[in-house]
Amino acid sequence: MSLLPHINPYNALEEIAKLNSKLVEGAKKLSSIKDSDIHIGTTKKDVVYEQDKVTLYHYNKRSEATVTTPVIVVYGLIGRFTMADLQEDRSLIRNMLDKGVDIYAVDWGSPTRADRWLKLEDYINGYLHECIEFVKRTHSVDKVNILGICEGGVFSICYSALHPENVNNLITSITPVDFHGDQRDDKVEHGYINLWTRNLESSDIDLMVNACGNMPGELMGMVFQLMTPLKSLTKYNIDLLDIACDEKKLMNFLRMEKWLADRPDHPGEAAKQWFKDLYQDNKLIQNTFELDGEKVDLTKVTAPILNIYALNDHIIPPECSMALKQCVGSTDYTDLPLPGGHVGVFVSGKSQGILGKGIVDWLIQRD
Amino acid sequence: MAQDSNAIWQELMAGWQTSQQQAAEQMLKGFEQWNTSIDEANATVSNPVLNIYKNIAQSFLKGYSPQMKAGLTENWEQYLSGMPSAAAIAEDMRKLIKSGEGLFQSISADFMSSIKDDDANQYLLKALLDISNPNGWLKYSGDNFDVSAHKLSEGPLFSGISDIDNRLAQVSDSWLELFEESKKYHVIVFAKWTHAYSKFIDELNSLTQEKRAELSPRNLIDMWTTIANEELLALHRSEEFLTTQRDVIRASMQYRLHEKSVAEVICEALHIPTRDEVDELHKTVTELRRELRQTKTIVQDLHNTIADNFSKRTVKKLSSKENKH
Repeated sequence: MSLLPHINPYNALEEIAKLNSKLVEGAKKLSSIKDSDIHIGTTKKDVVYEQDKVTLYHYNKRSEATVTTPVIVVYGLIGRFTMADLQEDRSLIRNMLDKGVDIYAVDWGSPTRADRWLKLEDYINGYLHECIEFVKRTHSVDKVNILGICEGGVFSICYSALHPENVNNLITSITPVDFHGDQRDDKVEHGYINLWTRNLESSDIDLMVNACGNMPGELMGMVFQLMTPLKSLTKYNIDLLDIACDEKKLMNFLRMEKWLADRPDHPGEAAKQWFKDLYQDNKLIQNTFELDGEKVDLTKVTAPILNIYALNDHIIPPECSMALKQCVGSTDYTDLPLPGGHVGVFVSGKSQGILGKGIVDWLIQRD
Repeated sequence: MAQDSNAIWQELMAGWQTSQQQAAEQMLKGFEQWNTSIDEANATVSNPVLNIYKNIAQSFLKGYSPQMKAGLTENWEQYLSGMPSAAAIAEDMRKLIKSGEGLFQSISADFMSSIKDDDANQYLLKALLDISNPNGWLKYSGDNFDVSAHKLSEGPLFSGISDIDNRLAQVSDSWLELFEESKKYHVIVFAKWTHAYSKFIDELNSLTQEKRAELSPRNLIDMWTTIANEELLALHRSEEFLTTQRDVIRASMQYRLHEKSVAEVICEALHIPTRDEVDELHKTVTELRRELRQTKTIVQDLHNTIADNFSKRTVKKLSSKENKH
């Protein structure tokens, strides 16, 4: 017996007719788009400092200054800083430039096997520190504003604890602080990286780094796919079909895909610290995490803090980020919870008006 | 006195034969265990895909094991001819996955045959097959680093190196271990896929005739994806899945390290720097750069202190001169 013997032929034919026109139009659009047509991170900027694979960019001004102290955007080693400047109408960088903020961004480059021995202290006390010193010298200022994103937020917090004299204001966004905070989050789709990493032994992390040199970007990509398993199965057929006829949506989709596809390897020694010390042992919030033999004491973070987190962040559950408030020494602390997910906070149409304005207003009050 | 090349070759082949015999024993044992674990899994969930696995295991045990056992005691050539090649195993897996696809294909085709056959229909059918394909569920095992699994497990690449046979045996062993762990992973994932499939059928059967009549191809896809998403989210967070996936990753990494060990011997023989040697070099460069950065910081701090002191002294001198005037 047929499972579905009573299909309404009119409904089915109507849907098929619609689908046919979508297919034709979508195929036509897709076939006319080349990779070179997909541009991300297009806001004009200049290279002002380079060391090894690290580049410091300075964005071109777009309006009169409203904030005198420059902002340095610090992204992590998992993914690329261009998430903050995905496209013209979805760009935190552009929104902040338009509101009169002077912006720098650190690009860590694409680590290769040659970088497997780099530790988090090389990135935080080394490269980031030198970028900050460069900006201080260039602008003749004693302190800078730091905007850390995701793993870059952790870098920024550590830097603020170890070099508080250099930090005017600290903005953290979608940043984990309590790496076991996911256990207080009851949403089933939240916190898979935390669970996955805790399920590994410390020696498994060593084994992966020893075998691969770095933590392969593909492996992290696989873990990200495990978080939203069906999405990866429907993305290139059903979801793509839904948007293929709408050029704007299609280009948004392809830009996001381009950003996602560019997933650098995480330098091996730094990956050991990230996954073992932080994800497994949760040392940051316990003030036992060490860089260059010095404990990162979060009570030494005294700069004003704006902590931005996404209420539906499945990668960094809100509970992991909200914990910052309890452990820092700052008396001026502000939470900015936003609707949306991990990446959506930066790239969704809805958040464009809220995020940039929220940050700039907060900075102006503290400039 | 150096051994002649013939003696080295004979020694090498003898070692290789021993390692392959050990590998064969392990493989047979693995298939027997696999058969048992499938019986255990089927005791709780009746899974047609697992039965396909079981059939493969049984055919393997019946067909290959006499040859393999003969090889263990008689001659290694006969034994090696009984060993399934990596390509043969891959072909078995392809057939297996194809059979799994067939389960869903049958209901999809049944459904699609009731509506008009045209391009859109075909596209939907393909989309439905893509997202319901059990193969898609298997891609998260973490074993995708073993891209060159077969290239070293099929025989010694060159002779004259005293421990190459042992290293190759380790590659064979670790490849079998990876193969074994992957099977456990597949069993768990297929069990969950079957569970999702049963839920999907139950949900279809629970619909009234009127509701069924309203269903469109897209509704069918949405129904499947909703169920599959729930099942996959639960699966990926289960202790059983996490443990199995971890074991696959471990086996995959061990295989990679053993493969590297063989590659190092090859590099040494051909006067090429080994991976470890290059890593050591990079380590030294990284440490030197670190020291250089730290030294530059110290120099800059000293420079700032001196400049600061000089500036203070100058101000003091100027102010004392002004006071004198």
